[in-house]
Amino acid sequence: MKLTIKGLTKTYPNGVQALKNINLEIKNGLFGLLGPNGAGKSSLMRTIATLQNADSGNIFLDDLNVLEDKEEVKKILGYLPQEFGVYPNISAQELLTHLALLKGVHIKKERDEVVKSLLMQTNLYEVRNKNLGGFSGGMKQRFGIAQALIGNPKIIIADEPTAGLDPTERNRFLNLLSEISEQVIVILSTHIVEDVKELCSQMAIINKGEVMFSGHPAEAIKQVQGKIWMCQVDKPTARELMIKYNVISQKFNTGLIELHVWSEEPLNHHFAIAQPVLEDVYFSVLNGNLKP
Amino acid sequence: MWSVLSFELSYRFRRPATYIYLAILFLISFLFTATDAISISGAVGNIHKNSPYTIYQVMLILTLLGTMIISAVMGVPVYRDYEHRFHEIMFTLPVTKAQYLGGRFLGSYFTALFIFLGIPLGILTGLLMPWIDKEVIGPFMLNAYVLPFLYIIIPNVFILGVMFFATGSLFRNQLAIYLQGMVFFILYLVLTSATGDVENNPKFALLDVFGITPSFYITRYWTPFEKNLQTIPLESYLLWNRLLWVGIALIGAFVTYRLFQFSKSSPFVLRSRKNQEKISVENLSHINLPETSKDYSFSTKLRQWLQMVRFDFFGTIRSVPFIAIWICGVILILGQMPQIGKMFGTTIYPVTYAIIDDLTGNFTLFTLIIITFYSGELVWKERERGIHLITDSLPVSRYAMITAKFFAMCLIVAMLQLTVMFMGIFIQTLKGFYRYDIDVYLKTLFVSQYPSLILLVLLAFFIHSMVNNKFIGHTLMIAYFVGRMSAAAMGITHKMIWYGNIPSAPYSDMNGYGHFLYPKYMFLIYWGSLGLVLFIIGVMMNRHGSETGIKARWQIFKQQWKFSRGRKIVWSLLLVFIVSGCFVFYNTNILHKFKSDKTVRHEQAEYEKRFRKYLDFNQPRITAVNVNIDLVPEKRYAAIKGYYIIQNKSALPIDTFLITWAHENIKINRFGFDILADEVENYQKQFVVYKLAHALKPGDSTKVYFDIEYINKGFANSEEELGLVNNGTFINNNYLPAFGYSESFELTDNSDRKKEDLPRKNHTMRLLSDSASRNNTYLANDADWIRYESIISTSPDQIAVSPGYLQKEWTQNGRRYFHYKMDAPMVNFYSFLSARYEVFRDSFQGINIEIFYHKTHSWNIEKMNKAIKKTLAYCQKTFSPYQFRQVRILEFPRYETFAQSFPNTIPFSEAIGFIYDVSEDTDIDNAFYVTSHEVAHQWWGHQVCGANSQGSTLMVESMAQYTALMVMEKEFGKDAMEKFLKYELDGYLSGRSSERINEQPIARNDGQGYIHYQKGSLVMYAMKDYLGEDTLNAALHRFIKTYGFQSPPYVQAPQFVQYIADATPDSLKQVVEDMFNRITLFDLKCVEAGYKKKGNKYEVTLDVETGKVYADSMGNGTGVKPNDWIDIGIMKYDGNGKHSYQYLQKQLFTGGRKTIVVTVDEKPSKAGIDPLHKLIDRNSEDNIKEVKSLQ
Repeated sequence: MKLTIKGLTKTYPNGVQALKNINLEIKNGLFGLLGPNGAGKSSLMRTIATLQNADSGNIFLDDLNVLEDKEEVKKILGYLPQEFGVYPNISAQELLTHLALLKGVHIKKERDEVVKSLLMQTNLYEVRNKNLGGFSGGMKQRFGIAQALIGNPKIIIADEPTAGLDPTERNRFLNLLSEISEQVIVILSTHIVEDVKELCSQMAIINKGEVMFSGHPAEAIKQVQGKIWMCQVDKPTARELMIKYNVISQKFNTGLIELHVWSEEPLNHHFAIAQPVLEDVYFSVLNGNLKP
Repeated sequence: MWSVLSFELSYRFRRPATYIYLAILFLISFLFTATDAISISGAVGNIHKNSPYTIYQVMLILTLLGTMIISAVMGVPVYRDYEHRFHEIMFTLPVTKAQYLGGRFLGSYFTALFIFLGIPLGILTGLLMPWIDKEVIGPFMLNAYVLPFLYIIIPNVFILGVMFFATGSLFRNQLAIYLQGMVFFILYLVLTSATGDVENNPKFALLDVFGITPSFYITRYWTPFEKNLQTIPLESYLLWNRLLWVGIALIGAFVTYRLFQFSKSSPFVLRSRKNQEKISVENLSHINLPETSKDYSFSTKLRQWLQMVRFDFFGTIRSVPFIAIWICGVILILGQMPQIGKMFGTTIYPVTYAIIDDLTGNFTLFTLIIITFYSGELVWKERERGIHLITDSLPVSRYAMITAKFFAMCLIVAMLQLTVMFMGIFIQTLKGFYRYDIDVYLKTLFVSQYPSLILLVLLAFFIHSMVNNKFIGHTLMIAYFVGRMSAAAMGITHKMIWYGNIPSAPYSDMNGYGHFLYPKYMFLIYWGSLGLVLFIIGVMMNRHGSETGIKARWQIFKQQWKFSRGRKIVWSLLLVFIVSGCFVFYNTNILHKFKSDKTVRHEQAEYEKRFRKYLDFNQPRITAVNVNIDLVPEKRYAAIKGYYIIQNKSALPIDTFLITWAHENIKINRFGFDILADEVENYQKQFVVYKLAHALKPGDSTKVYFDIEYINKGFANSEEELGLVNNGTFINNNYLPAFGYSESFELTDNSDRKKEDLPRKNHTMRLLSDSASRNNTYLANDADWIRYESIISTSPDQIAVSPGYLQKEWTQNGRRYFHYKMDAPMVNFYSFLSARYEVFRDSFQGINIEIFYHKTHSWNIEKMNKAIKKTLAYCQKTFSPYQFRQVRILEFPRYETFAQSFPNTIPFSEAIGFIYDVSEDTDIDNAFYVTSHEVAHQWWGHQVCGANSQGSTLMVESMAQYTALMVMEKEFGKDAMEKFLKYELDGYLSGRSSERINEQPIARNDGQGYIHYQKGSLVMYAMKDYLGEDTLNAALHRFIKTYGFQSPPYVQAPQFVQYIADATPDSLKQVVEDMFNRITLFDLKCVEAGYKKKGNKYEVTLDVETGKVYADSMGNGTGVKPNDWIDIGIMKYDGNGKHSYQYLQKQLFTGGRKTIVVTVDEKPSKAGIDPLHKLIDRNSEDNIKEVKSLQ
């Protein structure tokens, strides 16, 4: 399977240009979509999930025209929205069974099996008869994951799936996804760089509606190799350095501030060359240092 | 607190909702004042649009309707903090609980009061409009606005506000906030239905939160004059009511303060939270999701669809608010159960159609609320829960999703209809009535009512699919309902104009649905096809995924239009809409004449303007009628052939005939006279002027021939032909031609007359001084006493009846013929009836009695028979011999609810009398009463009938009432009469309180029912009491002997009164004057009553006050000094809750306070002045008091 996005553009009625000429090619496996809040990740994902139309451009899933033939896409789609609610007065099991039938799982026995297995996988089996209204944020999120996986979708779109999950659950889920992604396309959006680093074989960074980078994470890191410099200083120094240098990120580390700086020229003084990680790529892109 | 208050106020005044609510109230009040589009009540006839009474009522009713606004404003302030998750911040601020709650409450309260200022502002603005009729405006009175605001709005908003605020703050649940408004509304409905009985009024008035019942109670007998000038006093029940509820509200406020906690969760947690998330981390590596096979065949799609229907249906009916509304509806029905099937204090047999009428009357409100509310809920369900992105990405088409919701809604409506059915059966069973007509239930609820409800569901789905805000959707639905209700007032009477306007199909036990279902279904096809088109467009335009903008949805629509099958369906439905529309139009406007109210008004005015010159124009008199009438009931067809013999009874020759045809759907095959005549003027084929070739000389007679048909093809916009029906035909002589100009076609409503530039009519009947009015009785324009003969044919399974005696009955060509002939003179007033009758026969002193009834309505035949016999006996003994040899009662369908006396023939509606269930001890036997009244008309109306002038109904209707009263008194005793007269008193006093033109004394009355029936009973009963029954009856006997079967000039009321006056001793002449020639009201009161035991006797001391008022035609009273003999009564307790009189005698009273001492034998229980309510007293409850021991 291959998802091809070409020239996808979308402007909202309020004038916000959410997608600017997006071109991507996504193959089976886990695809990570990185970007800050408001970058257009959700818009892109909703468009692939047939929930939103584009102004121009097209999306093909192999030969299937996603923007035209929505019904067909929906048959092989699993979608987990970034924000969603549930019917409060119904249990997880009931709702999953309901959704399973609507997804076309027409044999009752299979339906029951798949629901049971999903409830197990998402660790909701014990609370399967509880009303969804009483679910905590994490439980609800797991429920969302479960519903997205009903009926062996060929393409799974998960918008910020790990938000609200505790580390154990997060691992568990990512593990689940990577397992599944061997045969299908899984698109996963996040602003947590680690998620992508750990799992994704393909990724893209988008910002302000544009694809800033796309490719393999390792390839991305290669691009900034030798251009990221770091130092650990106290606050006043950090303030000074931030004016002088092209600081892409800063974080506290044992009372000092660790600065990462983009520079194609070698830096001396406080700085040492950093072994770049995906985060550095991400911030370089956001800072505008790494251009597509 | 001030900071919280000012925060709340500034927040509220920035919210558009505040101004929207204000605008709604402003607009309603404005439209009410400035136009006729909205009628709230209050201003009718002579009552000013800005009278204190009207303004008071508007404010009263709008606080009731405004409950939802109060609940929206007052319920939310604390809840809002929780909903916006602001409470955690709020509660950490340095504000005390009192400051927080007080500030929030006061802020909301002031906002609500500000919103309600919309009412006086709306009224005041409305009054300024240039087009408004100056006659309907009175002087400006500041108090008229200020006082009701003080008595009603300020307390009501406070009382309801506290309760709503409390619920909102303590439960923090939007549902509770929603529902409580409805709960109060329902409580009010239950209360008003319970207070329908006059005797219950005062006690229940205290329970009414809104203060509406006590206000109505205080003003129930106010005359137009008083309504225009007096402000409602804050006294008696109103005062107590206000104090009681403000007190309750204060307690509520205190309790809220105590219970409220600055805490995260509500003190009343509605669900138990057990968040025991035991996460057992399993082996991460073991992942196996079973393979599933997916299928998208038709059968799967069907199963999916059914699953969605089931999901939405059960999701809705299991939800708490739905169950709450549903239970409210059921409770309302149960609460009203004692009143169900009651008329005039009489219980009726709970026949299925009557039960359905009563139940749906109450339950429909809930059905409409549920349709409006839940159609919106269902359309918005996914979006509101936030699950729409998930559901919209399912491989299910938008058609499947929305039609599933639609069908779920249809099922819900069906469930509500079934609820009505089961409640009906339940109530019938409780009342011991086991004849459940399940077919009538199913037909009425599902065949007749259900489709119209579904039209509303279609509309609601369309609206909610189109708009992007649920609130706007609901508002549009409400606007639709308001528009539909006021459409008629705005002049939209054609049912093809306002969506969903479907003719009703009344059910009658006799005639079933008759011919009514056919037009109903034609309109249903017409509106249904449009409804479906709207629905489908709604589906196509519906929001999908994150596309909600209008532009994006237009894109979706275009795409849908291009690619889906919906387009073809829309086109074919539009075709159905247009074709059925043409067909309906062909029926309503071409086969039948459609006239707007305005056209009808205009034609009436035109008739008066052009032809009033012919009023009293010398015309011949009909002396004999001979008709052959062929009825084809199944076709609702009648052919009438025959002739009149007419005579010139005047002293002058007649060369012009004026002919009136009352019905438009007539086909005249032949019409002519024995004298050659030219038609010289023809107005709308209804009023035709003929010029004779040679004049009809004084004393000469000639014949008028007619051959006419009534053909009912298709259907009209609103069915007017209720006489010719499949089973239960009842038509009268106005289907035949009449002579002369008829004043009865003139416009009577003065605002209509004004619009047509006609002079104001202060009297609907002609003045006594108008001598020409004495040429006719008020029943017939063109005849005195006639000879009558008819041959009626009908279908073989029906019996046809007309006045006269059956001469012969035969069958010919498969049709059944009846030949009737009258051998005594009768008035020119006859009818033709035909139905599948059962016949009851009896005789009394040589007089045949026949009762023709529908086979299932045999309950009261014996009672009617008894009433006929007793009345015949009484009238023959006291007044004069009966002029006929037979009395017949005939049942006709319930499209009309009256009984009417024709010569020896009394048609009687199935809705009254036949289905009364009279349990002997508690109720007034109306079957007996109505029968007796109608039989008495054979004397009063058919032997003597007043001239066509004011007061004449005194000699007809009031006398029939009197006769029935006397017969009933002998049958049921004085106690029963006391109860009956109490109803009559209430009827009279409330009748005059809503008089539209002028109230006249009974001897000059303009034919108002509340005067000639209700006041008639009271006056005649009191006269009997003063004069003695024998003395009065002797006078009546003399009167009927003189004027029975008289020739013109006809007798007028003053002459009748004179006969009574002549029999009255001088000391009581004043009473005759007060009773008949004046509007006299007494104010009698027993202030104190006590007794002392003296030996084995009891000395009773009564302190009584007396006052008397003469009222003018507007109800403005002038106090006069009484000089009247009035009953003093002392009762003793008999056990079983009954009291009987041990002393009842008249004493002379001259006004003011007077102490009376009476000695009686037994221990007194109650005592008072005029205890039997013979005199007209607006406050009759204070006449009697418990007698206290003075020792």
